[in-house]
Amino acid sequence: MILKFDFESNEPLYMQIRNQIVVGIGEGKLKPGEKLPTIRALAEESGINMMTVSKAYQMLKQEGFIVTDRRSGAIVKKRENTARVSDTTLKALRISFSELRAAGLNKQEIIDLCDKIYEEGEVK
Amino acid sequence: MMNMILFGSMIWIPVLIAYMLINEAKFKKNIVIGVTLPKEAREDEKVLSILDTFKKQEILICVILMALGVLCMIFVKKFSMTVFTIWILMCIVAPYIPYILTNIRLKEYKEEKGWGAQKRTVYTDTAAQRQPEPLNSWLFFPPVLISLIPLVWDHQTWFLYVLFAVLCVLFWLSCRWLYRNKPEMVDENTDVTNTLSRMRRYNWSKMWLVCSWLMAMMALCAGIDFRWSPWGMVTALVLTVFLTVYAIRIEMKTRAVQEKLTKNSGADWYVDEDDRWLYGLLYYNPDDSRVIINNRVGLNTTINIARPAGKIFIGLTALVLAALPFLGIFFDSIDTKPIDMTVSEETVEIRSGLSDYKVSIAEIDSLELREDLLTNLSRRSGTGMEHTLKGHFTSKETGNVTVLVDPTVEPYIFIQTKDGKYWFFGTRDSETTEQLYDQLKQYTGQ
Repeated sequence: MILKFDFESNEPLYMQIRNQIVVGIGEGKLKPGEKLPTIRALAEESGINMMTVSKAYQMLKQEGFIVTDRRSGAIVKKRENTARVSDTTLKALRISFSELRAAGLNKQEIIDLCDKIYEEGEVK
Repeated sequence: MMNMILFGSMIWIPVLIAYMLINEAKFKKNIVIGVTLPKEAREDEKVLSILDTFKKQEILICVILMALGVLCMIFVKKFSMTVFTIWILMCIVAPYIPYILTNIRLKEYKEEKGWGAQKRTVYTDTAAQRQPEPLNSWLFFPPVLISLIPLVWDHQTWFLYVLFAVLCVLFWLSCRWLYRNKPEMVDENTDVTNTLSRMRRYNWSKMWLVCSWLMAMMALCAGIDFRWSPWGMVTALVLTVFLTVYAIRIEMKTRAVQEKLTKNSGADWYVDEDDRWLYGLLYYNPDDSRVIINNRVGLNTTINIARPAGKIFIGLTALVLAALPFLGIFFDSIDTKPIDMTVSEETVEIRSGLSDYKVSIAEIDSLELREDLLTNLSRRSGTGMEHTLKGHFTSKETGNVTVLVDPTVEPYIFIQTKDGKYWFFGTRDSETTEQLYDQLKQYTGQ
């Protein structure tokens, strides 16, 4: 999977790393058990400070997306289908739905959009 | 004679630079003359025409520089070091003028065609493998030991062999630390990324290992030269030529693989980092916390000039280049400075520039007027120019010897003092040296 870091974006770099890896896992581009670059390697490849990469990996670990190991580095975690959604995700979802409603979309249009995104495996 | 050696030994430089730069007109990793272009650009008439003009300009500059070199070699009789350093500076700078102009033209055309990429964006492939060190560090250890072998029979020039051993250690450090272990991503093809990275890492390590072994061979040659000249010198020359040819070959081999593996790239998404490369030559990226950067094409590494260390490095490089002609003037002035020798009842004194040597008459053990230079005179520290030899030298006959002579003007005064030291003096005028020798003979009673 290709990670893209935009240094002109308002989104902090650690969030860019975190979000892209989450999207990769969600879309199946990153499979459970798949190795991710180590913090040092990702920092060296991208030129991003090691502390920034470390911050993103800590978030991913806390949120249960990855496990870190001193020897193997970071690995995509196998997630149980508990149908439990974290408070953070629910909050983000509420904000997104509100934005869509504010933009004038009705319930069906929002459902269609979600359906389309889910099927395409694309988050825009 | 010195002119012939100076220009003759460097006359190939314009050809090498032209050869390397013209090779950059071939697409490698979608890059040509430091500009990243899509695959369609490889058949674009305007791009091809720009590249064709660039090649012609490089050949023309190469021919002019070589012709100038030959003319200087034949006709320049005075201030040869000054002329030589100016010529070298021209050889380094001039070929890059068409390169920079072509880079600017290609970038303008790229913008015009809408081939530009999003700026300040970095891509990494999570599946790309970081390449481990391909060669065992212990392989650098034997060259260090071999460099020290001549110490067995030659203690006088010990610093030279230690220097070669230190160089071998430095090459190992360069191999380990002057490389940025970054996957060579060109597009989404991870296999190509891994192959390019592996090949580069291997060639980089191999290059430094070969350098270390050659340094060890050089040390052996220096040791052999001291005892069985001139074979050591001849072998050292052969090794230098071998190292140069090997370095060029490994660079061109790396470029050839980069060209071959990426010949089908650029049709879809591809990496474009042009916004970080000034004129395709200098890496300037404040977003990158690293100082050492791999060149995009070939094997070499460079410096991120947006970092403080990079700024210092580029400043020093510019300073060295700007100082080259002044260095030539400085050497020429040394070579033409008068050699003043005075003899009194107490001392013999010889001066040239800042060098000043004094020998007490009472300390002189033996005295000789020689028509020839000492055998295998080799400089340890000081100056070795066409018309001036001064400083501390070694010779097969004497071991360590302090020298201040014009080697082109015979005779020379050879002195041995009671403390076992040797002195080799001579002025720029034969008659003066002879008169001074007679005076010395008189005062020493020999």
